[in-house]
Amino acid sequence: MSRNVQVKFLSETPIEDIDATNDQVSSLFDTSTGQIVFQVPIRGFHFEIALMEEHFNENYMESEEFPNSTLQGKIENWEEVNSEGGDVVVVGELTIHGITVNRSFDGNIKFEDGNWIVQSEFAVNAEDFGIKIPKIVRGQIAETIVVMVEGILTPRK
Amino acid sequence: MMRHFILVAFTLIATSGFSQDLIEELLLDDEKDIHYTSATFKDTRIVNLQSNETPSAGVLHFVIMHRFGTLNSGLYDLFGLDNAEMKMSFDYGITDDIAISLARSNFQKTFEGSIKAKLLKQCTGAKNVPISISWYSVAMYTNSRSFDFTHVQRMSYSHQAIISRKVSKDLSLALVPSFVHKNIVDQPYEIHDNFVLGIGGRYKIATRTSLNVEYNYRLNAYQDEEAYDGLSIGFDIETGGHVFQLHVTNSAGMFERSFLTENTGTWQNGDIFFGFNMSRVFNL
Repeated sequence: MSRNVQVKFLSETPIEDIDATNDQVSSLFDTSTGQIVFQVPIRGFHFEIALMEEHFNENYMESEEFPNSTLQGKIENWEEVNSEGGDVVVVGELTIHGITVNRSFDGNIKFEDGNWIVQSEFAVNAEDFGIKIPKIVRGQIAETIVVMVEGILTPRK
Repeated sequence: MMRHFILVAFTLIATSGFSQDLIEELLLDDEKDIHYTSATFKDTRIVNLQSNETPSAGVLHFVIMHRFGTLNSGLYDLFGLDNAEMKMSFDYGITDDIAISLARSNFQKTFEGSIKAKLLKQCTGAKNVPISISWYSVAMYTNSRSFDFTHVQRMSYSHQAIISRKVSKDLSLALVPSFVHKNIVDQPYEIHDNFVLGIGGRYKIATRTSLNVEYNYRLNAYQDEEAYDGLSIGFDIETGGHVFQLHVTNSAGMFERSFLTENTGTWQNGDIFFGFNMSRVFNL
């Protein structure tokens, strides 16, 4: 299984911006139906500051208990864009921290040099997934986290 | 109408079932990673004993440690708060697995230089290692003028293997076989080569708080020795880049020679000290 998708997230507050990058994301894309799934190992997120990474895993995501986040969905307008791609809406289930939320995601999928390339940006509310941010650090950690997905999808054979 | 409903229902079931297949297919094919266990302990110390943890590469881990006077010293000394031993320690991570440290205690005016290395790291996944082993070696120099010793005599050393296991996300245990060598001994009951078995652990009582206990059992001490095994109980409280460790202990000294082999008081007599370690990390 190739891991050609990168997921980044960004927490922006007036005090500090925190971001992390994950290069261990795997995907599977069924081009006949427009079904698409992503698996994001939480411990694959790397931060600039090691202690932040430890706190992210230990205190917020509890990655030992919930090692992966997943997105399982279907491109709603796949019929219209399945020749060379375009702007898409994915409807499906996002699971983070053991909690599943039904929602839709805006993105772009295009066919280039024999690969399906995905690109999407969406916001995630920490509270929706039962991730508690203590009062003392609320100034430094945003309630709403911006997630960026980019890379080459692995087609289903 | 009914026919339409069944058709829609069937499509929905088929769709969600298919998506389920796709994720299972992905999980099946997914390559296995090695997951190194992180945060066996919140800090580089359990209470006095070293834990398996080291500061990450390029991180300066600064610790201020205090031990107040004995709780049984009465109201006159405000139950020990009037007197305090303190130590400053500068620990630096050369790599993620090797750290060096310089420290100074006002107790017997002691300087310390030490090195700590992670030799084996607990992990799961593609590789399975059930325990972590870290090595800690420290050289101590007592500068106190109240001793009439030569420079060489003022040196003492300790070497420790810290064998630990994060049993669950809340419980971590450590076994710390330790050796302390003193170039000179001060009291007739003291010995040059001391073997001590340290036992420690932590239990997380909340996300950012843990209960820590350590006991240092002296394996080859004289029966009538006027020194006692060290027992410490405390809490780790973590807030962002700080860890506060609050504890009670019968060890006044904060370096290995002292807290492993030279505790002069016992818990039974109330010769216990309230103390804290406060750490802060700086990313250099």
